Amino acid sequence: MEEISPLSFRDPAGTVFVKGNRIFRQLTEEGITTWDALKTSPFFKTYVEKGWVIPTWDTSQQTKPTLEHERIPFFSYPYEWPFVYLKEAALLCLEMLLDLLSQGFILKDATPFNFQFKSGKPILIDVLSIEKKASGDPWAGYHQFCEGFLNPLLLASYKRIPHQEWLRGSPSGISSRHLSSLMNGLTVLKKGIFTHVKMKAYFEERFGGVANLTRDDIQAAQFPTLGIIKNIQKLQSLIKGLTYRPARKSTWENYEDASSYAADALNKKKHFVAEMLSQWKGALAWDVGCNEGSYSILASKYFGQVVSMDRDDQIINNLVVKLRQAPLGNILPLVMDWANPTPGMGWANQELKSIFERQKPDVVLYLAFLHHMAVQSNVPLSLQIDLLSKTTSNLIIEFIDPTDAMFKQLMRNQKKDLSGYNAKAFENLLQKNFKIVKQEPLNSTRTIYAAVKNTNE
Amino acid sequence: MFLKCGIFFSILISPSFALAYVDPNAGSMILQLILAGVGGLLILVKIFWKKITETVQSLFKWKK
Repeated sequence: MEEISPLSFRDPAGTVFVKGNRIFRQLTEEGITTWDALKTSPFFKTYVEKGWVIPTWDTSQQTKPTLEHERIPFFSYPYEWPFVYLKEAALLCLEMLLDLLSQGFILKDATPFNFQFKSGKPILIDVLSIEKKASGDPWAGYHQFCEGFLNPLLLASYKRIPHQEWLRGSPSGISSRHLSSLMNGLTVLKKGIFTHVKMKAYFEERFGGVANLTRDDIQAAQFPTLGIIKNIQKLQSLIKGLTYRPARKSTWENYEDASSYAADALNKKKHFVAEMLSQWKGALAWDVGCNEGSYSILASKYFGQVVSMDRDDQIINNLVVKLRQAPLGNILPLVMDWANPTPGMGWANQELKSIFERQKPDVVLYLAFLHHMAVQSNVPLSLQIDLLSKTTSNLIIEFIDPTDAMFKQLMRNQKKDLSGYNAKAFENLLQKNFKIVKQEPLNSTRTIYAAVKNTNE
Repeated sequence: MFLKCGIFFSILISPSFALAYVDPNAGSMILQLILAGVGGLLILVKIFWKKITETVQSLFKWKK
């Protein structure tokens, strides 16, 4: 069974398709020329070894020139990445460009969608975006780089606005014109704003008429490669200096430390989760509402890949820092609001996949999260369990009673009827779709459950 | 920076081109030339000089 990847239809060099668990790219004439230049180049093998480019090999049959790519454990998008990830992908793009230019090659595109994260590091997946540089050609990807990488990073670093929501609203990037109208006053003096935002926005507007100046005009006049290198080096220096600056102290930061678990209850919870995960060992686990990621770290011992999701970008950035210290490469922290998770987007809403259309998790951790969804997002228990049953077969879920101290804190400004919110009702709902295989009270207000989806579902 | 500002303001007062279908890449390419330093500026002058001479030549032909 072959499934054409909707991400590849724009690429004139080849079409990506999925066959079972394997990823192939069928090449066009243009793709064959590019691949021939790449495979004989001195750098391609080194890039693969350094982890810059996805391992790729030729599986061509006589009539169909085809490449196979190593599969990425879990696909993610720039509007889900924390600031650090977007910055690291941008820096890899620039570093690779500088190296390629020194060898007469260039990246024809500079979009963050050409990168994925593998073992906590960015990697170029669109190998055919590396091509021989035509003499005198400018860097055609500069505009794309600014909108997809630079502007979201400037927005987050200079204006303390998390880039994810804006980039999700406009996946091709944040336009310089829009960003320019935000960067006023003293912000204009900050590094990169005058040149790459203000001037760029103005030039786009003033010289945007198609008849004025074309890439061919510039190529005919021989754009100096040294000029491209100079621009890239300045962008490198600018991006290296950008730091993540959250808008405020996160409400959820140190939440785990502040939470009302006694040491005994916490140990019971960790032991329960570890025991079930060791039984359910598998390829992919999701930790929904992961907070500081303690249980993601636990799951990483038993699962090939763990995806940690939290809507708070600050929490996710903190988790990245924590994972780098460990180091734990098989945890992918993503900014994701479970009450409004990533939908399908792009052409026909198929080009960029929704979170539920990607690889299905073998297990979902849903710990101390039900009541947050119920109180803060007004999602009834029945809907939460229904969604979980469509997402996974194995579930570890914690129920917290409204009499719990932390629950009461959540409710302090809420007037909600919680008459249906109790352990008995929760268990009944859970058992409609799942079989409870184990349960354990952690203290008088908290109970943890391991559940397996009913086979007749 | 001084050079860049000078060029930016001299372009500010230059005549605007007609905006039919907007292609932001065209503006980005001019900016790249400016950011490329002296080499890029010479290319920019070369391109615009060619455009100006072509325009003058076409006007001259039309008048004949």
